[in-house]
Amino acid sequence: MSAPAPQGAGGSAGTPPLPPAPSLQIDFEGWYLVRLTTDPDPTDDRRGVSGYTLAVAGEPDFDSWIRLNPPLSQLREPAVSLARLGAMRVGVTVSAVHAHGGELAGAEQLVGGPVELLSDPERGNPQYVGRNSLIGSDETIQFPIDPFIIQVSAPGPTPTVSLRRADVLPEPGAMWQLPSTVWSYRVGVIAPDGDGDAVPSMEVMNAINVYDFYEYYRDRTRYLQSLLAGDGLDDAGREALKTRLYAIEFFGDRIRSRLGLKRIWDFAISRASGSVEGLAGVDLESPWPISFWMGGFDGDLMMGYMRGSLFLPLLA
Amino acid sequence: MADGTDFTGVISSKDQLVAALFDLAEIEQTVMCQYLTAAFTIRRAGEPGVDAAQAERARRWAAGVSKVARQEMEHLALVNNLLLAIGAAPHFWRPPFPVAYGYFPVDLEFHLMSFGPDSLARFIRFEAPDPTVAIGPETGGLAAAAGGPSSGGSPLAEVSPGPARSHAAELGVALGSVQDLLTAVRDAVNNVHGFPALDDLFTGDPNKEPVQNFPLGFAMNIFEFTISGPVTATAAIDLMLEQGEGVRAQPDFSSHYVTFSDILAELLAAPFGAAWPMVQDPAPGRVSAPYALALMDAMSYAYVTTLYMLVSWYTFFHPESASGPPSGFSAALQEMSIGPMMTMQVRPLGELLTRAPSGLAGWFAGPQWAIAAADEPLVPSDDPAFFVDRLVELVRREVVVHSLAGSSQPADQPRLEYIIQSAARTAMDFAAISGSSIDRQAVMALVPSSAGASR
Repeated sequence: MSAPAPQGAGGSAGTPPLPPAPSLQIDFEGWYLVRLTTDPDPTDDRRGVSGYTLAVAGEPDFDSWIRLNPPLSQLREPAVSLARLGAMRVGVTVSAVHAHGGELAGAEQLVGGPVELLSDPERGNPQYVGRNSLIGSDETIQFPIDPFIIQVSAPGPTPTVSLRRADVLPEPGAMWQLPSTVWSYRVGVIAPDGDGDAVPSMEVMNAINVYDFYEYYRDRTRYLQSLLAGDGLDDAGREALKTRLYAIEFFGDRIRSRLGLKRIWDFAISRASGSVEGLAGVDLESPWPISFWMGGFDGDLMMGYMRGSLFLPLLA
Repeated sequence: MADGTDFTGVISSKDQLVAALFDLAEIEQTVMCQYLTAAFTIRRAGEPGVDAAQAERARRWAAGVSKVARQEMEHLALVNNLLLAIGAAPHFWRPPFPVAYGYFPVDLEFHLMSFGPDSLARFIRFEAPDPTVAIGPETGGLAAAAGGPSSGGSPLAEVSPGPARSHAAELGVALGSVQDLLTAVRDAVNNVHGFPALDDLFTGDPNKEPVQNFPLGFAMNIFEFTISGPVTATAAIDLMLEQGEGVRAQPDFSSHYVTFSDILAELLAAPFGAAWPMVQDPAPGRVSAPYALALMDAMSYAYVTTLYMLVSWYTFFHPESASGPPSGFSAALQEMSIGPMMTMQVRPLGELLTRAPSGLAGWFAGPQWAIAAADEPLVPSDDPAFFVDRLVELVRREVVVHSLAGSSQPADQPRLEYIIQSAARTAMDFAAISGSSIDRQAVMALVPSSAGASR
C-alpha cells in the first residue's frame, strides 16, 4: 500500500493528534440522513411545525437518528432517483486506506464498505444532542454526537473485515445530566480556518457539487411543482408536496445557508476497547483518533455530507 | 395642550408616551398568548379527527399562526427596546384573560379559544388595517362573532371580560385603534407637533438594549434591532404596522391580517375539526380535572418565570463578549429565556394541556397564562439564585404533574419526563453560566426516569 503523508479530514484545519506510526488511516465520505426537528420546534417534537424540517404525510415520525447508510426507502425524492443514477453518493463509505509506517494486510478490503454509527441499548440511537441550546448551541449550530460507536466494514453481506469501537464519555450519565466539560470534545465546531458561517465552505461546496444555493432550491421547487402537477397523487401526497414547497419558500435564506455549512469533529475514540475482525495487528487499547466534518445540509431532503478519516494505531 | 392632558389622541409628554408603550406591550403580549393558545390546539398527524391530508393543511396553519405569534414577540421586544431608548423601564406584564380593550370602535374582547373560524375571525379583526371592516359572507357571517361571544366555545357560561386598564387613557390620551396607538407613538418619537416635553426623548443607552441587531432575522423571520433615536424608533413602528396590518407593505406581503385571512379562507373551503375543543378561557373552576389543573399551574409558572427572565434581562443587560462561551448573569438570562424556556417548556406544556381532559366531558383544558398575584409587579431581579430557585421549583411542579399523569394520562409521561429533564438542565445551566451555586445531585434526583429517557 502507498504511504502518503497523514492528512486531516478532507483538508480541514485542525487535525487530531495522530497516533505514533505505524498506523492505518481510513478515509470515508458520503451523504447521510438525519430526520430531526429544528429550532424553534421542541427537540422531541414528532413531526415539526415551526422549524424548517417537517415530517410530511406518508413519512414516519422524526427519530433524530444519524443514519450514515440509510436505505433508499427512507429517502425523499429526488435523492432516491439521484442515488440510483449514481449522481448522489448516498451512504458514507470507505474511500481509501493508507498505511503509515507499516503494513496491514487485508485492510484494502475495507474500501467501498460502509461506515456506520451504531446505537447503544442505554444511550439510544446516534443523534446530534441539542435541546434547543441546553446542550450544544442552536445559535452556532454546534452539537455533540451521542452515542458515538463507529463501525467500519468491508462491503458485502458477510464482510471479511470489520472493526468497531465505542467512545465512552469520561463520566456516566445521560447528556442532560452531564456538565458540558464532560462531552465538549464531542461537539462539532465551526471550522477555524475560515469566516465561520459568514462564507460557505468551499470544501463542502466541492464535495456536494453545489455552488449556487439559490438555483439549487429553485430547481428543487420546480421539481416538486412538477410532481404536484402530475397524476397519481392522492390528497395526502399532494399536501405533502405542498408542505415541502412551503418550507422551502418560508425558510428561504435559512434553508439555503445550510448547504454551505461545515462542522468539524476531532477527538480520540477511547475508554473502551475496540474490536477488529479479519485484520491482525490493530492496537485495540490505544485511542483511535478520528477527524471528520459534517455539513452541506439539505433541509428538504434532511441529508448532509460527511467526510473524514479514522486512524488506527498498529501494534509494533 | 402641551401639558400632558390632551384628549385628542395626541401624545404630548414623555409620561404619556411611556404609558402608550405600556399599553402597546400589553396588547402585543395578549394577542401573542391568544395566537399561541390557538396554535397549541391544532390537531397533529396521527391524532383523532384528522386524516393525513387534513393534518398537513392543519400543520401549515399552525406554522402560520405560530409565525405570527413569534412576530408579536418581536414587536414586544421592539417596544421594550423603545422604552429603554427613552430611559423608561421595560414592561412585560399583561392583564388576565378574558379582557376587553377599548381601543376599537367595536369593543374587542380577548379570549383564549381553540383554533377555528371564530378565533380566526377575531384574529383578523385584531390585525385588520381598517378596524371597521366587516368580515364578509365568505366567513359564514362571523362578523358578529368577531366582536361578541364565541359560538364555538364549551357549554360553560361565557366569562365576561374584565376591562383592560389603559395606561395612556389614564393620562388623558384618547385613542381609537391599535393603529391609532402606533401612529400616536410614531408622531411622538418624531415630535411632529413640536411639544417641548418631547424634545430630547432618547436619553437611554442603546447598548443597554438586550436585543441587538437582527440576531434572529435570518433564521426565524424575526427582525429586532437597537433603537437609538427617531429614525430607528419610526422604523420599529412601521415594521409593526407592516407586519401586522400590512400598512405600506408591497402587494402579496404576508401580513398577520393576510395570514389569518388566508387560513380562514382555506378552512372554510374544506372545513373539518382541525382543533381540539378547548374550554374557552381555561381557569380553575372551568377546568376541574386534577391533572389538567396541575399542568395549567406548571405552565403558568414556566411562563411567569420566562417573564421574570425577560424583564430582568432588559433591566440588567450587560453586553457580553462576542466570542467564547456565554458567562455571567446577563448571558444566563439570554441563553435560558428563549430556546430553553419558550420552546422546551412553555410550548410543550401548552400542547399537552390542550389535549388534557378538562373534567367537562368532551372538552379539553388549555393554557391560562396566569400571573399569580404575588408575581403581578414582575419586579426584575439581579440575583441568580432567584432564578435558580424558580427553575428548581418548576421541576418540582412538573414532577407533580408527572405523578398525576400516571393515573389519568400515562401516555403523557415520556414527554413530561423529557420536559422535566430540560427544566433541570435549564436550572443547572443557569447556575453554571451565571456563576451561582446549585446542588446538581439534588436537582437530578427530583427527575423521574424510565426506560428510554436516556439522553
